[in-house]
Amino acid sequence: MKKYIIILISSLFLSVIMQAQDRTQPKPGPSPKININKPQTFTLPNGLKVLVVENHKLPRVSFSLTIDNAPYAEGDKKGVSNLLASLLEMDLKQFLKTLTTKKLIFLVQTLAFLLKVHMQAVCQNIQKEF
Amino acid sequence: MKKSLIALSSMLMLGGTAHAQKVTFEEYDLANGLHVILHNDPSAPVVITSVMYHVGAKDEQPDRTGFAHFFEHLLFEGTENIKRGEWFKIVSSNGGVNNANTTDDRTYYYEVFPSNSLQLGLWMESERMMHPVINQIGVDTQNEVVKEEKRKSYDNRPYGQIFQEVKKNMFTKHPYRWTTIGSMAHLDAAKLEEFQAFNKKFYIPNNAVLVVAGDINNPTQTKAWIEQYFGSISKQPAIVRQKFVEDPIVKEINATFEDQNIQKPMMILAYRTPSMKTRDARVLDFISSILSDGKSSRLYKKIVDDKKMALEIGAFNQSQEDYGTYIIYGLPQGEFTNVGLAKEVDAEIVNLQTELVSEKELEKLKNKYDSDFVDGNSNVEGIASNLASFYLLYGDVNLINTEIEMYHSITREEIREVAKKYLNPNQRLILDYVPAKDKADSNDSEQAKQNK
Repeated sequence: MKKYIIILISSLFLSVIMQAQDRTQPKPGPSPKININKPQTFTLPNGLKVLVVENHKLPRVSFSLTIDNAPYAEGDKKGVSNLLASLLEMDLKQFLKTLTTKKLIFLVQTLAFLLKVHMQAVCQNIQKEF
Repeated sequence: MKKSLIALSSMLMLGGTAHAQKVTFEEYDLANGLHVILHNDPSAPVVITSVMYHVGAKDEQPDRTGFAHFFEHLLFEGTENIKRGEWFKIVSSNGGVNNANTTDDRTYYYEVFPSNSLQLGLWMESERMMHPVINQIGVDTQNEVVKEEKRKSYDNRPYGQIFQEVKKNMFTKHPYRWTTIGSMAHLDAAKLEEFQAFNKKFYIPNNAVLVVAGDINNPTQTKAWIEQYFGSISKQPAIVRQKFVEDPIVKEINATFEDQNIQKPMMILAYRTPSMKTRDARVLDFISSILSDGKSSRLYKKIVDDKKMALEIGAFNQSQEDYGTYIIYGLPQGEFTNVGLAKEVDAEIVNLQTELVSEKELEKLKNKYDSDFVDGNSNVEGIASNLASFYLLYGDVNLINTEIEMYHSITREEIREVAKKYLNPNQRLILDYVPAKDKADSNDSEQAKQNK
């Protein structure tokens, strides 16, 4: 106890020097919380489910379309979803090439397994095209 | 349904009127000259601590090249309070990632941690700055690591020696004439004391900027930690830098390089451009985009898509502190040659020098740069690196928000004038980058047989 008091006192008086000398590895603080907002959701008449998450930090909008095609749906034609994803990506890129010469810059990426298409654009131009 | 449509359309409407983001930050100096920049963004509970030192390959002695990059490795070896081999364990066991990189102009170290380990990140970077352990075992270990990196990334990589050859020919006085990875003979010859002296000279608080970006939940506490860990590092004598001025290139330089690892020749045209800090450099960025950025660029559409003369055409636009280099490369296809490709490129450059780009093309360019600007500041790691570069290399940290205005103000006439000023045949290097004769011959004939 006495020892602690001495440390406390000396740290009060010699705080600058003490701090300079304390070079032991610091311990992490309490774990931070991750806050992810709940999306607004609705379903179009054709059954497509839409999730909208608003975040105005950047003037940018991302779209992604995910199709739930489980691997067993390929049957004995293994790899067909990969082929389709590549075709879709090529097609989209071709289509977007004409768009980029107009107003939009897109990033396109497809992920074969879930047939996921991801696009991104800077906002100023979104309205003009959609 | 109606409600949801409104939600969707309101999102799009809002998008239409939203303004570009503004990166807010706070900056100050410690008494020892270390510049500190804080950027608070609590949207994700992560924080990056990074230090950029104003030292790169261009600060090396001509007979000791590769030192700055060597230090990128060496300063992970350990410190007085972090035992050898412990650095990466501390980072990963606290949920972090870290890395470093070196260019001709600067060296950058960083850690990304969950925000409750901000103090740890600051402590680690201050340990590295205050008292890194530079001993023979560390030097010997990293010497082998760097040699392997050179073999893997340059010597044994097809087309891996483009930069070495371009730099050698483009610069005769400036240290940009050697590569960042440097010479292994120089590293072998260097004594331990030379490494220690290099560290003492350049890796000092008054030659660095510390950036903390991300979830800084308590700025007062953060500043106290910064003072605690970095404040006690002593200031060192200011670095005296020599200024190297190149004579203008007035006659086309012709060079040939034989690469043992390739079978197809490559056409390389290189132009020396001004410092990345100048307005002209930004105009040249536009020119580079028009000519060679992506598949809708002029050179790609003409030479690859329409005329089918090349398998690939593209460019590296090296933006650097003292000079830049704009390098156009192409892989001729079938009967076509490097000379033939160069003629097509020349025609496009003449076109830029005589005709104004269309309003539409200029608008497309500005959209592209808007998009890059948003993307470049879309995460805290990008922001940290941008803040450090704009402060340390460009000398104006506010450029993180204002550089885009400079791009927006570029006119069609300026593009034409800058193309006339820098992209003439007598100002460039033509490098014939070809397969090595003995090795390539046997490979080619063998392949020709197989093809038949």
